[in-house]
Amino acid sequence: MYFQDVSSLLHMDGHGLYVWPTYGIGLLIIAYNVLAPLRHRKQVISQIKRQIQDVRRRGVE
Amino acid sequence: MNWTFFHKLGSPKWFYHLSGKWLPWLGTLAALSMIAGLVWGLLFAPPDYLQGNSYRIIFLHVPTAFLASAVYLMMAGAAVVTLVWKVKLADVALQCMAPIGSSFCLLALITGAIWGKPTWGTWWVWDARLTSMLILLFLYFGVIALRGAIRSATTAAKACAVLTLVGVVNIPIIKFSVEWWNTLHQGATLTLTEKPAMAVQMLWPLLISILGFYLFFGAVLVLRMRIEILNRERRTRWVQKLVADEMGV
Repeated sequence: MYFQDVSSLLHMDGHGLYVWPTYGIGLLIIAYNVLAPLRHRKQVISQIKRQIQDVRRRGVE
Repeated sequence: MNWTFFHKLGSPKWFYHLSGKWLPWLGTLAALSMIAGLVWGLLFAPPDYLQGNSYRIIFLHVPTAFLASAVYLMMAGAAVVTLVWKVKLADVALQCMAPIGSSFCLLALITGAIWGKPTWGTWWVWDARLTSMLILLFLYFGVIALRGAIRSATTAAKACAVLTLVGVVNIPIIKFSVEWWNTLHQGATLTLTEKPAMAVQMLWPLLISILGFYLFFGAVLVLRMRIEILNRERRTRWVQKLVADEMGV
């Protein structure tokens, strides 16, 4: 590692204030890109399931 | 020329089955290279002689800024295929690329603004590069909003394709803005024709990070497209069978 210890890594000669929040926001946007489709997938699957069950019910009646 | 492959590739069902095999690999490679590039850049690369440690933002800023433009160009390609050949899958791709591209564009703008503070002494200036990137973000939002505003799927597909193509004019403006106008933004860090001006210890993590972000884009695009295919083809027999078999109804 380039930095001697954790505190110099966090401080980054005064630039840690800019670098760390940037990486935090980056992580949030990466997480959004993974989680948003997975949530949408849940919705779509449950809608299709309901659709299938409706068709079956109508078939029984 | 044999067009069978092209048409097969355009079939949503075929794409769904094939992409299911790619996705785990793509996702794993993306995660590994992103972690490698970012950790290397953040912890192991030496500081810049002029900018000190603030330059470490580059490992996020450059990949996302590259992708913001590249994704828009890919959307334009998908728009042409949608308009000329009416391939369904191309419109699915166009729809799914827009939110990903906009998120990268937003991240490029935010990382740029935070980097600007210690480097230029200001978060924002209305210079050519920054303004044209902001316009790109609005173009992304425009394409997303337009689809939401039109009820008919075919009309929405056409309208989004046309809007995407109109917006392409902004891409060369972004690319050459640092050469055409006097801007605060520095010139290109990486070019295909010249030897990079960057030290090797900084160049490698940057290249790996760029590769990682491209793979990540590929992975989340495939993920989104698969879901959108299920959504659009929900009335077909193959989707109903797939959901009934795999997910248990």
